[in-house]
Amino acid sequence: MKKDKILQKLLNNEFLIEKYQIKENEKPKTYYEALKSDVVIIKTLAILVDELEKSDRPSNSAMYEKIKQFLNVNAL
Amino acid sequence: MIIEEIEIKNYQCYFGSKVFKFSKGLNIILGKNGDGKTKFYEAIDWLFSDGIEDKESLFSSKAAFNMSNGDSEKVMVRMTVAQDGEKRTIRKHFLVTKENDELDFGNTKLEGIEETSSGERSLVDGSRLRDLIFDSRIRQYSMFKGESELNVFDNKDALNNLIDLFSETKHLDIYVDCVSEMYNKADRAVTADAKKNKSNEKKYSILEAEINKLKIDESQLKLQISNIQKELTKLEENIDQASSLVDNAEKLETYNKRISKREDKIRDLRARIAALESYTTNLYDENWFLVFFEPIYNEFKKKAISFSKDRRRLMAEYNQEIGRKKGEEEAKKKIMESIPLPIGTPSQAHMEEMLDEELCKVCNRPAEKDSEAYQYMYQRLQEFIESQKVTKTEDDDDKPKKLFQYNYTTKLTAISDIHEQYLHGIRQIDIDIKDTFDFVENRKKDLEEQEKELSNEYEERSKIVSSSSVEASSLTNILKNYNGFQKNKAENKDDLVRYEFDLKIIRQNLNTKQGEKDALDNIQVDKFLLNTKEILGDILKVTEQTRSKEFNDFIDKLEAISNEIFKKTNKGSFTGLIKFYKIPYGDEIKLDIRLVESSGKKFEGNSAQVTLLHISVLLAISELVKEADDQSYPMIMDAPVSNFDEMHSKLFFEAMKSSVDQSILLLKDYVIRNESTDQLEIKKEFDEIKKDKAFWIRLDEPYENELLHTIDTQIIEL
Repeated sequence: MKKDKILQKLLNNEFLIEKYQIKENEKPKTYYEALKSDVVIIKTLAILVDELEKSDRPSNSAMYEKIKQFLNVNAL
Repeated sequence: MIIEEIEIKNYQCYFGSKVFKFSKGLNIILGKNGDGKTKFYEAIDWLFSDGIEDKESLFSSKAAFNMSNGDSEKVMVRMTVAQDGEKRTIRKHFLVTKENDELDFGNTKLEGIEETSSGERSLVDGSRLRDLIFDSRIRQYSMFKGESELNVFDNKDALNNLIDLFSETKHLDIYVDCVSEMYNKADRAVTADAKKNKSNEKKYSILEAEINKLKIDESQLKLQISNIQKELTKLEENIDQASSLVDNAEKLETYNKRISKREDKIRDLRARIAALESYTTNLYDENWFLVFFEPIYNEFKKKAISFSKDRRRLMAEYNQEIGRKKGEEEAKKKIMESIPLPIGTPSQAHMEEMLDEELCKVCNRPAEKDSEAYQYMYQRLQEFIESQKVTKTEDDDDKPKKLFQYNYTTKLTAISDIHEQYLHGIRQIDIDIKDTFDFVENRKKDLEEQEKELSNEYEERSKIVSSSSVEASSLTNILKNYNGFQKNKAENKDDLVRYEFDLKIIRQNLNTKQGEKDALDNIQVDKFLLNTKEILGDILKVTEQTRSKEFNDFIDKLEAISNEIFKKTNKGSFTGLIKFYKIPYGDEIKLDIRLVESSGKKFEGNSAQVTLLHISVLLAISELVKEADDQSYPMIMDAPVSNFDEMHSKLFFEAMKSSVDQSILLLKDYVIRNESTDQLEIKKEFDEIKKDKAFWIRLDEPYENELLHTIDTQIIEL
């Protein structure tokens, strides 16, 4: 599935793995699994992929509002 | 997608309806020049294009010729393909009617027909179906007319199209744009919150202003760098174009200079020869006429010496004679004057008396006339008389004349002596003449040699010009331009280094100021806003890096597959490697594909290698298409192998067969005319090609070369 494929590409980024100390077993296999992740950045990426891969993709402003709300609360 | 059928009806040389039934794999259409191969390719191209068309030129001349008033004919190209389990047909056509001896051309229509596996047929929008069957972006990597079109990356948009089609790079642009905007919003939220705190308001404002200025500087520098990179790419292209000719241009200039110098030398030699060859002038001006004087002089001298010698001898004799006579005279005189005759010596009268009486009165013996005694007395008398004669003195008229009174011999000797002095000079004339002749001969040899060399150089120069695709005058300009391009390139590179250094400094300053601002933010701004900004910043970095990696991976993959195919098609010969160079072109990247040695050193392959390089890249693209779209598209190529030898052709066919699900190749090489039968036939070598289907297209005979309405291409399935 395209969402999974793209998410995997983003999750395999070396900078991300290094900075957030993401272990291989912490990496979700699907975007659906990622949406349930406790790692904030993983979940943020999953939301991003989920929204941007929709056929009726939201505007960048709408996306920001959604991500901001999530991060303001969860990025501790 | 597999093309099952192509029908061409009344299209140019295809009179009536002609149907090609293709199969999967390698399909080959053979035909000699002018028999309809290119028209086949153009018919497909027409089917897929929407441009302005000259319908009259598309309509078969033979069909037009056969029409009567009131008749109508259809011009049509139809393609039926198998795709996604359906049979899909697109057909493009227009109607031609004849009224009052005038042809009328109807509107062009494009129709689509879909037929499901169960046989249900439905008429659909032709344009939509056409794009579905064979997307124009894919077609640019699938249809080629001749080798010159094979280098698809000559067009800088080709890479972007390819990336759009087959890699996630373009798709990831959406992520980068979206996250970038989100990050900027988060940054602005942080700034707005920070400004609420008045304690560091001034410091914060200064920092903000400095950051904004640095960002503007950064943006301007990036623009300048982008422009320089574009300029550099253009210069590289120009240099590349010129470099294929610059060797010839340099050689031409060298030959021009050499020829000019040699022509000067020849002119100089000719002038010198002409000047030296004025021998007649030299005869008098340089006294060359005296060159044969020495033998004459020698003869003269010999004679003068001889005369002188004779003169001396004669003079001696003369003097002796004179002396003798003088002595005699003096003696006689003395005798006469002082010495008495000896006793017993008869006097003259006595001797005359004795002769008369024929009696010697000295010895008293008879001396008859004619006797010996008589003769003796007579002789003595004559001697006596003679001795008594007085010799004439010099003053006397009968005195002997003076010998050599005009002194000619002495004069001759003097002349000879004078000439002797000139002999050295005269001998030098001989040497001068010899030297001059030798010199002229040598210069003539030089001239001959120079003219020979000049002729060779003219020939070499014309070879250089004829081997170049441009005229001699353009070649000279190319060299000038080439040097100009190189100079500009060097200057631009210097500028680029300088700007990149400036950019680095600006970015360092920006980071410092940003750090200072972040430090203030940390003190003054709500933590959650900062966390949101930081995470969005990280996500921005992740998306940008992923996009960049995606692009690089795609190019690496394309390069790897291309090399795999290239090796296969070049089996048994030196290949080198295909290397994709990513060249910055403003904000974009341009691909430059080159052959390199394993050491990475670039080299120019021969024409067959270059064609194979392009074909390998196209086949690699075809494989990527197959992987990305989960379906393949046919390759249609007109005359792709005209510069291949037999071995390369064979390898090429094998590669086409193994790499592409369907290919249609139009070839001319295997049709020959049998000289003994004067009939066209297919070469035996064609049997060795592993193909799936083959056609031979040829003009229906008889036809007349100069009458288009006799032309009709026939299809023979082999």
